[in-house]
Amino acid sequence: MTTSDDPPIRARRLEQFRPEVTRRGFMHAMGASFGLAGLSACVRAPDKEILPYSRQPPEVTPGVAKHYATSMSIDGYATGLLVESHEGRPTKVEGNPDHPASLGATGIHEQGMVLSLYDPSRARAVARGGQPARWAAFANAHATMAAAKVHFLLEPTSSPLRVNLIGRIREAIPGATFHFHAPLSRNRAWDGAALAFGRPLDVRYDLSLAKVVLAVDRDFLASGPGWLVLARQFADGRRLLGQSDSMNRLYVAETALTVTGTAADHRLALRPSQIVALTALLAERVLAGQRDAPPELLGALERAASPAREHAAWAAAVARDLLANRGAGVVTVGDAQPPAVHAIVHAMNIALGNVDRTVRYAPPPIFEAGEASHDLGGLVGALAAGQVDYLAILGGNPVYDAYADQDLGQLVAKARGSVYLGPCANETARPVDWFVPEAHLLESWGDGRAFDGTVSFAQPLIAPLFGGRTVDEVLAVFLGQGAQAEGSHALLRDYWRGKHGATGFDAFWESTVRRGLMDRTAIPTLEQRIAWGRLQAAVEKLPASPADALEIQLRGDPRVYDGRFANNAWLLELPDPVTQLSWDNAALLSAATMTQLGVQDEDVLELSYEGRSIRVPVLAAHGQADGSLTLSLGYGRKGELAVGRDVGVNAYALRTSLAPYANGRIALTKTGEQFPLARAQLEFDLHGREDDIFFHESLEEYRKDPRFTAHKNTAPETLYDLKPGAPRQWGMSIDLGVCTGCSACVVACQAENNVPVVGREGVRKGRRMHWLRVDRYEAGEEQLFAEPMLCQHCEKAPCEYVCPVNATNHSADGLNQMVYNRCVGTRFCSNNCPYKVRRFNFFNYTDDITPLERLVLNPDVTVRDRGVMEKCSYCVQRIREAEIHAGVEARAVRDGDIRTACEQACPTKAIVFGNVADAGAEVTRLRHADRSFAVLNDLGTVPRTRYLARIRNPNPELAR
Amino acid sequence: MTAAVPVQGIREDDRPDVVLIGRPGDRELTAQLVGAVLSPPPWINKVLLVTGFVTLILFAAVTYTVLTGIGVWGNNIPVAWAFAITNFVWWIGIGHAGTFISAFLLLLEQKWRTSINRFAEAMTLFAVVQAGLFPVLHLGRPWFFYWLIPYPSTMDVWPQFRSSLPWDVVAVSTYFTVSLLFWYLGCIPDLATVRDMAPEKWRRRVYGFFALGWRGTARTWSRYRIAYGILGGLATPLVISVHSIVSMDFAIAQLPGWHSIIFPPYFVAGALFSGFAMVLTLLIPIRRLYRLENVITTAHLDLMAKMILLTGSIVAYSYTVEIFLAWYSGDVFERWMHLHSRIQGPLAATFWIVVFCNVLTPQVLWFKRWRTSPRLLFVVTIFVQLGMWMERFMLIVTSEAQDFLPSSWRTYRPSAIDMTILFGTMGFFLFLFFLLIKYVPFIPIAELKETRFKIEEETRGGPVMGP
Repeated sequence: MTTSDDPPIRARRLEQFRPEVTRRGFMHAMGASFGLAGLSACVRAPDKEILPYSRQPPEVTPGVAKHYATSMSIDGYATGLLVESHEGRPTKVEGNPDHPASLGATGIHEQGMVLSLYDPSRARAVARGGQPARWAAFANAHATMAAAKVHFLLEPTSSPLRVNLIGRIREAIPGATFHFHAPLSRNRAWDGAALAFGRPLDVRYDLSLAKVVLAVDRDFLASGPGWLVLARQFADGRRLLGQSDSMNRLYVAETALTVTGTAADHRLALRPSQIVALTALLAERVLAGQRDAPPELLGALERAASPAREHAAWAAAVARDLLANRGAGVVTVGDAQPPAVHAIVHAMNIALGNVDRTVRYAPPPIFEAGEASHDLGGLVGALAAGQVDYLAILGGNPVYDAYADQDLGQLVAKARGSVYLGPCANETARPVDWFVPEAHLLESWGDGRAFDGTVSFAQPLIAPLFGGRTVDEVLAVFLGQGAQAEGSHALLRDYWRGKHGATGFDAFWESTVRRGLMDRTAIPTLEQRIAWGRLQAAVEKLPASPADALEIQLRGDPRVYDGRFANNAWLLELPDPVTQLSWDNAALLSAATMTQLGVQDEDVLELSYEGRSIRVPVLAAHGQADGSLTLSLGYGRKGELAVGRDVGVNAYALRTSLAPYANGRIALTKTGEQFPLARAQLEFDLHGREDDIFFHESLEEYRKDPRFTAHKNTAPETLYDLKPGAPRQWGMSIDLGVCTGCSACVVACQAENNVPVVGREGVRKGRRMHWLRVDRYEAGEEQLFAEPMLCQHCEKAPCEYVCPVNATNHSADGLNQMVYNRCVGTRFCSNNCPYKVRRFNFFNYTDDITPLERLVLNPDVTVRDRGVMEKCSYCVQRIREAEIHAGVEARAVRDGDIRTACEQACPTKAIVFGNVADAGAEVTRLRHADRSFAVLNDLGTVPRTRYLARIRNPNPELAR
Repeated sequence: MTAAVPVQGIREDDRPDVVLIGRPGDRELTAQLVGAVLSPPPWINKVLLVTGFVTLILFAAVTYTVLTGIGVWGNNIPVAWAFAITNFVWWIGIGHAGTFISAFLLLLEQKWRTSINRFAEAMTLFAVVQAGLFPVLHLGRPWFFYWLIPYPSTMDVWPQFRSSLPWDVVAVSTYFTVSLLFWYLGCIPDLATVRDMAPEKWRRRVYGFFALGWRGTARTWSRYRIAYGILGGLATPLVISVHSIVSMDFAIAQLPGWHSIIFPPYFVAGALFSGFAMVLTLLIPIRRLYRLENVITTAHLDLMAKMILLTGSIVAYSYTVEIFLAWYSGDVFERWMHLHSRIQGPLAATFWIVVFCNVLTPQVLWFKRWRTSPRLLFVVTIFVQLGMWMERFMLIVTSEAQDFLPSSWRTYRPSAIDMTILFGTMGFFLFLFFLLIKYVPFIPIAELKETRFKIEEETRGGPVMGP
């Protein structure tokens, strides 16, 4: 059954009431339409007072558009955001600089989220059995369930309001059971903490103090709770401002290369089973001198470590480095690793004296973290036994992303009644009775907690476009409050009034909503003692020897995460930060494994396990562990998705409760078919062009000769007089030493500059439109460098002199400008651009987007027509806005007033923009720093974008 | 009164230095050459039907492209120019031999040019028509092509003269204009002849209109000679300048493989190379079909084959110099382009086709026997044209495909529309060419008579009066 109002059906229904069109009628209608067209921007304002973020910190660009603070939760962990609103229309997301989980930065998901608001696939109405229904009917039908066995399935939550509602429902409905499900849950981490310390805990790191970091299968630079903060701290620990600066060192052991792996100084590619063994090996070395550690534990570790013996030298060197930096190291492990590995890592951190310095433990902000309610098994059992009177699935998409062996899609029908609150007519909407459209975050009031527990508020930027409801509103229905109450605003306000007390509540409310967070609400950290005996028992239970078969790793996708972003065109078009694969997912294999299997790129393999099989194309991946195959979850979506339907392959079909992350028993067969993949970059080899494109050096060599880039990068002689024409001269510096390649800048640029999406075919044909891309270059076995590449704004720009109509030219303040109206599209400029950053509108890419999708466009930036060239403008709209603003205030533009979209999003502050004619500006300092170089310097283009060489900090013991 | 009028004195083993066989009288010549127009062979209508149909397909493909966007082609970033510009350079190069024959050789007083000059000049015109399609069509917004022309815009904006593209517009349009005038001026006396001889009234009217009232008086002949000489003088430098400017489209860029100072002479030689090949490709079958062996003799074939050999050698030398200088420069990008990318890269096949067609094939022309064999010559010219198209494609596409940053490297595949447009222009070209063959005396009658007269003068050692 379909649950949203099916367009053809609705069209037919409308047809019956359509009157005969007469000339007079037509003129009436058209006149009214034109007259009212101007009003349409006004009618979507939220009906409750929302409060602009008025105390703007200096680094926030002030302007006509207003910014509102809100927060976005993924798997219950909130990140504070500022959302830019143009006349009530949210268009762009920035990080909230005050928020402890953002510090002003954002990742690709935060940046891409605004596009989902205007997703044409969003469900438009409440439905019952596929027929449109009224919210009031839904509320009335669910107000009296006190006697029923109601099972609620929610996403993990940290929301104080929601926790309160859950408590009240448990009182009101004695038969209510709550379950929390996230496909990429943190259950294993919590279980690991429970194993070590007796209770589920979250680990909080302080990487700013860390000198040595060991990440075991943990992509902390691009995912996980608080990753934006970790990335910032990690970058601060290796940002070299001079010869004498110190630099942290990162070791990574993982299967598929991740963003964190590309940032590593030493990386070991291991099959999933070997990762467990390597951790045991490292722990054995680290714990050897630990007085508390029982000798039996060491013996158990030694046995568990045996499959990783070949890496003994690596492990020994890393262990020595960690031990040499006691109290200044961090060992961190990914959520996919078994609980015992987490517990081993906790023991290591304790043994290394890192606890209370770089590592602290605190109760998770997530409600009932680590408890049985977070295991879907309970619900599955109840459904199978027919003990469920009513099933309320509020948020998430469990029918799609639950374990394949749990077969939730069939079981949902066993409940005697069911409702699903979801964004669109997706997989889960199919088997349920009632469907309620879910309000987008930017349409919702709510709260949540950051990774450190800080209470964060979410306020709507726009009234629900399609009458969407929040989880809290639906929960309130079960309390009998649905029909008459005022919705999530009232729920939130009432709850916090109760917490805060009526006195001074209005001021408290106003300041919290305005700032988006509540101060001093972080959860305090706790001291912990490890239970060595339990740890030993767990280690002994670790599987001793791995299978020799090809091991398959299933992981959350860097772009679509668990599948929730699979209908987001920006994120699908974004090339994977490591493999540069856009749109689909693929089976990642190392070159050696591919030779062994006799397959090539784009060959389709059939993977089958327990009677379920999928067909997936192969892609060679740099840094992939031999004997492993990595496949991203979150693709192959079904349901009414305008963009993401059938993009990629649904890897959940292979994911079972017993082998959720790694599996050595999946059968592979070659199909002989081919599937064309949309790869954004085809060549990763530098072809010996290091000194032209990407300078890199080891810390040791850098200290010997800090100006090593300058010797090979002197400005070429010129006959031209390059006298600046204006007092302000714009320029940029990009620090390749701290850029991780996470690609947040790419999506930020796309959102800010109305960069069109070209689709799989477009990317495959080499027509992607990204103004800013992140190039990846291989250097040896271990390294895959990232280099953000955007218009370099050359002072002697090769594009300018070849344009026959002067459509691209130079501004007095040093911008290479693109005059779209004048461009006739010869593309000569692109041919002559050595950086190939110019993008051409081969078609009219914005012709077929719906009026709804149009709402996301930034009104400050021209939407380009077909046949014209476009490229990075250094966010000229932001420059001019700041200049006008400064002019109104009769002051000069200050350093930091203008931040380009990429700079603002960057989690590691690798990108710095500013006035290079201002000797005091940070960008000037960086451009004259000793690692500075220009890409393709010898061509004499004199680029305004300069880079800082990447410095690696290899362990001398391992550097051969 | 058909093309197959027997003419005395044709023998297969004619001496190859004879540019007019036998001593046909004025009447005979007129009958033979006007006959081709007044009673064209019946097959020509079928040829026109087929080529006309191909032309319609071309127009459909062009319309589709303009309505949809050039995304329907295979172009991408980095390969932003591909088929369109390749076709442009190829067609415009083909045109060059026509002007070379009609103008250059006129100034050099080469008698052998007479019988083939109109033919060659018309080929120039039609090739430039094909070439002219592409610079407009390849624009992202072709409806604004006139912005490349320096016209007094009310907005006070001018083209950007540092770019070679506005020069291109000027060069090509000048070339077309001068070629058209020069060709048309040459036609006038013969159009008058057709007017005078045509039995049908409509023909007399139409040819009369285009003959501009030509009467053949001594005064008109005198004015005519002066005008023809001036236009010949004007057209001659264009042979050099047009393709030099076209080569600047590449030479002024800094792309490895484009940024090369030898491009202007290299392109001009290449243009003549392909142009002479095209003249021969068209001439050899027409000569046979219309039994024109008496006016287009083995000597013509021999001389043009020699030109192909000469220009082909210049082209081969240019290839060598390019590769040598890339190596000698030590520049990492140039070296990659010439020593790896072109020779071994994903499009290496084009390089080896070029070497085979443009360097190896013309070597057979060192031998007189083969130079004078129409069949072999025909095969060689086909190879040369394939080779020259491939050369332009290789120069343009391989350079773009693998330039400075390896991250943006990408190869190119033409789309069906690309192929349709390429073959469509060939159809269009042949369509125009056969229209000419059908309606215009394609061997200059008056000039041929004059040449015959001069030859007789030379052989008898003094002035001769009439036949």
